This record gives sequence, structure tokens and C-alpha cells, in this order.
Amino acid sequence: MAPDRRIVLISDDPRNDGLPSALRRAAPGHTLVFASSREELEHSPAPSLILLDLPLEHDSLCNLLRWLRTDRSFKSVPVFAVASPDVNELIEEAYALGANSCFLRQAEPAALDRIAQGIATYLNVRSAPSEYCFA
Amino acid sequence: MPSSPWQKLLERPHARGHFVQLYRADDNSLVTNVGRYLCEGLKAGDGTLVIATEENRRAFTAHIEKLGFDVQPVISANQFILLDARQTLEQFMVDGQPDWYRFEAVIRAAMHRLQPAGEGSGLRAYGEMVGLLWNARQFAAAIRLEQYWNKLLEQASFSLYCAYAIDLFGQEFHVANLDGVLCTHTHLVPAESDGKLEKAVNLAMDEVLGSHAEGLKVLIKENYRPGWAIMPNAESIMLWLRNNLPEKAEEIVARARHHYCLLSQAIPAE
Repeated sequence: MAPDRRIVLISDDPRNDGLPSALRRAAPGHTLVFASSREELEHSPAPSLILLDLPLEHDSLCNLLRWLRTDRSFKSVPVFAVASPDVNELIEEAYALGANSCFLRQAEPAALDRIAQGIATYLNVRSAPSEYCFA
Repeated sequence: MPSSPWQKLLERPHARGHFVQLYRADDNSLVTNVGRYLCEGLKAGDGTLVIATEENRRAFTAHIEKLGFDVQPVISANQFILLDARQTLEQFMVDGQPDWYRFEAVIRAAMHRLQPAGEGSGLRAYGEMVGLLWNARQFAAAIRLEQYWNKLLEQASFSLYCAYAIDLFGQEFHVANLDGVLCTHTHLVPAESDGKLEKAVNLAMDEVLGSHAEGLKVLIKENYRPGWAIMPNAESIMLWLRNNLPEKAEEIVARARHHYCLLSQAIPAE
């Protein structure tokens, strides 16, 4: 089965367009899909990455992460958060509930591109067969 | 040779600095680093408390003597107090957990006995009771004890150095195990601050990931974990890989261990 090439961005604020735009440029082989709740994810196949745009409403964030980390098809999907340092407590909570990484929201286009490029590289490495040799 | 920033941190720790070192039981880095931390404190006139096993108390004092500092006068003057880790731990453990009131009483009593050498001198402590609990697989008790130390650090001005016998290349060096340790310290001190480990990890990443290695290193550098101790790049990379890329992490860590041993001119430990 071909690996899923979708990145799901979960956001309360669709105006936060910086990273999605940078990701479209950096990972043209992937499709960016927007969602705002767990319910929207439940009936779709597991994507290659879930991006959480923090802050999200506290209870829905906790509910979502708890579900992601116990659901059979979603539990191995990496979850990255994008946030500002003014929500450090929420970031720590997201980590405690199973988020894998967090990146600070960047205003500079070059910094956004750097992170997006890194995420694209990560997805390429992750989707390669385990015996594949990159070197 | 000039001191690295990590060495400077140990020589002149800031008050309320709470450091942790992970070490392999068969390496000498713990004695070297702790010996330096203690020796610099004693030279500066700091009241210095060590709570360690008998073996390590001997090793630390021998290392301080090797650095040219005579420990007997400062022991006699109560500037340097050495306590047994196991006996001290027994004084405040209740039903398998440390008891705050007993802990506070025991540690405060030891600190009150300390006699810094001068007016402006501070206090520094080294403790491995947490390491003993960790070795006994009493992980929750170890983390609770770290939290108690932090409570004491908020109330009194001193620096604290802790140690755990955890091999950086072993399976135990994983976010799932270490989150509590990293959340309760200000700095993860490298075993050696000469850059060998970082070089070894970079080489291993290049070998396993080829041209993708650089892009991943950039991503790892951008990773934000506000609640954790500040740590060296190599340790940070290994933890990230194990948590985010488990399919490749073990091969990278195994190769990093190999390169590190070669760089250290040592025989690889299995």
C-alpha cells in the first residue's frame, strides 16, 4: 500500500497561514488537509503527519491527543505542534500527552522555510522502507 | 586549555542551578566532573556538601587531592561535609517514598553544619541518592526526591549536582524514561565537553541518512521543549531521534557509539 501523503493541520484559526504555505512549497508531494477537531479525523485514514496549531482550546487538545495516542491506526502518526512561547504550559501538556515535537511560530519567511524544509526531509526519511540506505 | 562553557558552569555554578549528569558505570567522567565542581567550590570558600556512596566519596576526594587541593583542613573546618548516600536516604524514606518533612530536616541540618570559608562564599552540593533510587528502579521516588530538592533550592541559595548511572547509548536513554529527570533539572551536563560525542552523532547521522542528515539536524535544532533542562546538542539529537524517528534511531545510535569509542580510543562496550 502506498504511504499516505497527507499532512493534517489542526487549527482554531485558519488565518495562521505561514507554515502551511511554506509546507506546500517544501513538500509538494504532500497534500495539506485542514481539520478543527477529532471528529473530522476519526473517519479518515491515518495521515503521514499531524500538525497542531497551538493554542487550541484546552479540553479539545487534551481529548484529541489522548485519542490519537490510543487509536490503533493513529497512535504511530507523529504529532508536531507549532506555538508561541507564551503558551509554554500548553506545550508541556501537549508533550505529556504524546506530542512528538514543537516548533516556535516564526514570522520570518526564511525561518518558516527552514522548518518546513526540515519537516519535508523528516517525512521523506520516515516514509522510506526501513532497509533503505540513504548514503 | 581554556574552559568550555560547560566546564565554566561547573566551576562557577549559578545559585539554584540544578545539574544532572548521566554516566556509564565504567567511565571516569563522573569523578572528573564532580571532582572539578567540588574542588572549585572549595577553592572559592563555598560550603560543600557531598552525599554519595563510599566508593564515590573516596574517588571524589582523591580527585580533588590530585587537583592539588588538600581536603583534610576543609573537612576539619566543616567547610566540606561528606555523608553516606544510603544512610542519609534511609533517614527520610517512608513506605518507599521520600517524606518532605524528614528530608527537609535532614538536609537543612547538614547544611547548617556547613561553614563556608568567607563572607561572600556560597553553598554547593552533590547528591546521588536519586541515582540509588533509580538503580533500584524506584523511578517515581527518584523524581519526587528531585522535586523536593527543587523545593529546597527555591528556599535556599545553593547549587546542586546529581548523577544517574544511565548509558547515553543504551535503551534507557529515551524520552519516555527521562522526561521526569529532564523536567526537574536546569542543565544536563555532558560527560565530556570536548565535542567527541557530537562529532560521533553527526558522523552516524551522515552515514545512515546521507543527504537528508543536514535537513533533519536543522529541524532538531528548532525543536522547542521549554520545561526541559538545557542540554548539549548530541544528547538532544539522540533523544529527538529516538522519539521521532525510531525506525532509524537505533542504527544511528549504534554507529554513534562505534565512532565515539574510536574517537576515545576505547574498546566498544556492549
